[in-house]
Amino acid sequence: MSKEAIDKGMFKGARISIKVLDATIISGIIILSTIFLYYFFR
Amino acid sequence: MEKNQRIQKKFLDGLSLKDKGGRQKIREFLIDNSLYIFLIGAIIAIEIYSPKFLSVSSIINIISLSAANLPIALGIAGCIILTGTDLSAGRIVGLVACVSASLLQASGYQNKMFASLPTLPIFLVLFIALGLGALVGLVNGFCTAKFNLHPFIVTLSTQLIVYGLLLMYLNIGTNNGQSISGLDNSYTSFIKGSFLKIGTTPIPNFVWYSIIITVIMWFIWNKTVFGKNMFAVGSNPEAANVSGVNVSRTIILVFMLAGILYGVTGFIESARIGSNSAATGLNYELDAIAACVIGGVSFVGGIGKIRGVIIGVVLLRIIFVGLTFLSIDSNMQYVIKGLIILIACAIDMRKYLVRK
Repeated sequence: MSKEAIDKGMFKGARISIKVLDATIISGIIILSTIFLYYFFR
Repeated sequence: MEKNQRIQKKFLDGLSLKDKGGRQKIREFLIDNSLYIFLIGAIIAIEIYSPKFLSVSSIINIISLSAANLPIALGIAGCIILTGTDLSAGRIVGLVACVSASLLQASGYQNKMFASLPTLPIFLVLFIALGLGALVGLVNGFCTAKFNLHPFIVTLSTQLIVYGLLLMYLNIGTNNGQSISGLDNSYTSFIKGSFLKIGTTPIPNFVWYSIIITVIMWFIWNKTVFGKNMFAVGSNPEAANVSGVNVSRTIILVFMLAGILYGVTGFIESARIGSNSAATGLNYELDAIAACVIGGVSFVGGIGKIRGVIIGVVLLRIIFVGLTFLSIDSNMQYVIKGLIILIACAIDMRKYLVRK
């Protein structure tokens, strides 16, 4: 997503993107934690 | 009676709204800082797993590794502030490291690359290293600013060119692509020597050089017109242009400054590693970009702080040293590195959208 596209983007679109980003962040942290815990308790 | 009920209902509604707002704020805080929370949690867990992790010698090792990578991260941070990036950083470090090593080999060394050349003065070679970095930075900046190309594609090209030149350089004379080692003692002691010890662990000189460079960069970013222009161009180049900022000149100077910092990194890495080959500097830019993004240097441009870059570099280094303590294999370390960059970018973009 380019900077201009975000700037010109509709409010609704921006809100949806935040939800997608939240999902990406949370799932990324879960994967990282799982990898970490696997090696920690191995 | 009815009036009282209405007031009570209003009060309860207000309370629930307040609660919702509070919960929302906590949620936002947790998501925005999720990476920091994970990294700090991981550091504490590794320390519990292996108490040697945060011993004096280990901390000095982490500081040394961070100091070696800090100048390259500061250079790339400038490029990221301009909404760009620099993929050529690692290769410039490699080229500068090999050139510095070849010019500062000990005179009696058997496999000396330039057998007839005496060992040059350190400051002359440092000057050549900075000049080499600045030259590639100038090419990057010129092509980005004057041809209006994205730095991604420009630095991808220069990365390949620099790598090719490095391979050719390593084949000069009788070297046949071998790694360059046998460095002069004055050079290695200038970089790796130490005048201060904590306990029995010496702090290498290059840590102090890195601190000096960071202070200079802080001054350039925050106290000079060039620094202000850099942030202005990064946040909105059109507005900066209308305000009288020379956008092309600023872009070229930012890339040149970045090139000089890669030159410094190459000069330090050369002596720190001791044996320099074509693989020197490989993927250094990825670590530096990851450190910048973790430290809050935004890819949307115009946002970033020196202290953020320092925090990013140190946190990333602590984690990678910690992963070694946990015996996580190097293949998995690439996966972890990639995930950290992805999450950091997502958090950065999220913050930008929330601000909007």
